[in-house]
Amino acid sequence: MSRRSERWSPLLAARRAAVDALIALKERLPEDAYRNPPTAVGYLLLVPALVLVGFLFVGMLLLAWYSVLTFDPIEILVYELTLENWRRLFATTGYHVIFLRTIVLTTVVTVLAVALALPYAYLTVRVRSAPLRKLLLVSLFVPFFTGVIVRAYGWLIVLGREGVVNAVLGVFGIGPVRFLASEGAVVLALLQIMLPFAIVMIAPAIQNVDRELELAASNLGADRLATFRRVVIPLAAPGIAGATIVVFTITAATFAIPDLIGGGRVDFVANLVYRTLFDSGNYPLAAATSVALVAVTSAVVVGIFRTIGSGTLGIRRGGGGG
Amino acid sequence: MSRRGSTRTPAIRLDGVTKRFGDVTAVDDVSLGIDREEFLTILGPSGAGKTSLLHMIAGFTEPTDGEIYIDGDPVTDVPPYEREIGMVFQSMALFPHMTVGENVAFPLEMRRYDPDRIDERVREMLELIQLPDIADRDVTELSGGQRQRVAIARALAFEPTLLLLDEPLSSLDKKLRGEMRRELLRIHRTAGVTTVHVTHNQEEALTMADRIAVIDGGEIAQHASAEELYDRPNSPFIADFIGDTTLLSGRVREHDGRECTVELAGGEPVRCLPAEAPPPDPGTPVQVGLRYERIVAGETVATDNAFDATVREVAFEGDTVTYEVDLDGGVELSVTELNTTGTRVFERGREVAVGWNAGDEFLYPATEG
Repeated sequence: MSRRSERWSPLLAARRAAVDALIALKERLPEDAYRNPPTAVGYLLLVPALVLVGFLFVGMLLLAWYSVLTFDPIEILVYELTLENWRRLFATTGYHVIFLRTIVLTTVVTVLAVALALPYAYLTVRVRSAPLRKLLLVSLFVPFFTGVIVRAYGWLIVLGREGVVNAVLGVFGIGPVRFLASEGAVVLALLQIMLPFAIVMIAPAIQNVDRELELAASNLGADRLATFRRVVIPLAAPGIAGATIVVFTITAATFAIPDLIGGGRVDFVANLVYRTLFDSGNYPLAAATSVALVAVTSAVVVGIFRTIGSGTLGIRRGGGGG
Repeated sequence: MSRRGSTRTPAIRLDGVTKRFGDVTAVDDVSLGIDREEFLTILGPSGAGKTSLLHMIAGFTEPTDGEIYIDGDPVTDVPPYEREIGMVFQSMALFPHMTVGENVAFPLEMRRYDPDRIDERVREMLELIQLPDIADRDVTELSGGQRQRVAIARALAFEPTLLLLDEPLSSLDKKLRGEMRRELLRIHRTAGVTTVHVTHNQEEALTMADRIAVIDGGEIAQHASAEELYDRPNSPFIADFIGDTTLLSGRVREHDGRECTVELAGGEPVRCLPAEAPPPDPGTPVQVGLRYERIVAGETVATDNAFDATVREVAFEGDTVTYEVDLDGGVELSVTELNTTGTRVFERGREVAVGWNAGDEFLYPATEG
């Protein structure tokens, strides 16, 4: 009946508003700014972004430089080159455990977030009833209005020893159960934070899947699950890859949730860096740990690109198949 | 096939099918039977409810009322993926992330054919559409005509009981359209599959269909063979929609039980020979439909009805010439003449004689409004 473009959709409306704003901005720019191929003015507009990324890059180089300097308990940093920090990082089992936990739990959070985001995003895009779609969208954006710390404290209230869940369990004579300071609690809290990100990344990708392709699949004998698996997911792959990368990188570097909910028992690498820096004041070791985390995360991102293909992010659209 | 195949059970039967979207009735009480191996065209202007009807047959939407039978079995509760109906979408709806071969294999994989059977069947289907070497191509690399054929191959791969074609030729250019029309008919005959074809293009309908169901405002206006539809349209709407027809209002002056005389709005008396005797009573307001090509124009004409007229507009179409003429009484007519050797093309402003024989007209009681 009504085509995708004709149907009212807040996602689409938001996207249109954003594109309109961009076009309005573009119209005000001197014409040289958006020539294809770009001219000098066009490249000039890259400068603010380059400066920002440049600071980050310089920071990374500084960290890498610190990581090979010598630690001294009194002077803190001695400008003598050494591989001692890296050796310690690689040799200490305690650190291995924290790195491994970070990667495993981050992977679990990522997989769950993407898996739960897919049906949510699909429903939000395709549902016929306007009130239901509004409800889904509001539930999606409300969590963004509260910060991570607020939500962490929320979980403390829900899962704590005197918390809501234990109060309910107490009625049935169970407990109190220790939920907090467990890997499950950390994963749950992280999942709640990451899920909206995943949905926001995946929904536009699903919106771009032509509805008629789904009808065709159904006509050709694919039930809903098969249609989702064979048609919707492959065609939404760019959004799924994007969501995977965003969720993985943010989660891998997370600090507050393991700190507040994990209670020191479920430390992530960021918590390790914090302790090394503020408890022992070991700048070089903290720097080495940070660089190692960035390296591991980057390796995973590269891995995702390799598996799904960087073309799927839509950057190389129209650059030929294969 | 089953023994039922030899009886007179239609392949598809629609029984009082109605579809309402809120206050809008898209399809209104449609009953229709489609015989085995028939090529039925559903023809109607845009917004007539054609697509809704097709979507109900395919199972994408449920009828608000009525029942659809496939091989005699009601299917309203059967989901689309269990209906064994192949459909070619207007947009073709080929899966862009799959090759041609994977597209054609898709319905077979869904039915868990074994891999060898799938390969074999894909090869057969690509041969049927006469594109045997394109299995490994990306669908995005295909031309419009090739995409069309692949969509047909995919829809027929699993030997459906019914093939649905939704405006299959509308996205092709004119030349390709003629070629694909023949191709569709060839495939239809080779595969022997019952086909329901939806279009708004009357020429496409006339040249392709065994039978045509004209749909208007959600209702079937006439369901007949192409010749019957053209030669005996049952309403002014059909006469106007199929072929080129001038509709004139008038009033019956007198009749002798067989032939009658109609007085047109301009006062001209016209002799009519209605197919259905007896003619309407004197005084009845009527509409007279005249096919452009049934009227002759010349220096003089020797027909039952003959009038003097002035050429107002000339459209030279190569094989034919169409004149718009004004009768002296003020009535406007259009006349199409074949452009054969010796035909004179009259220029604008010229006095000509136009006429037609009694019985060449369509006569309808005037409808209100």
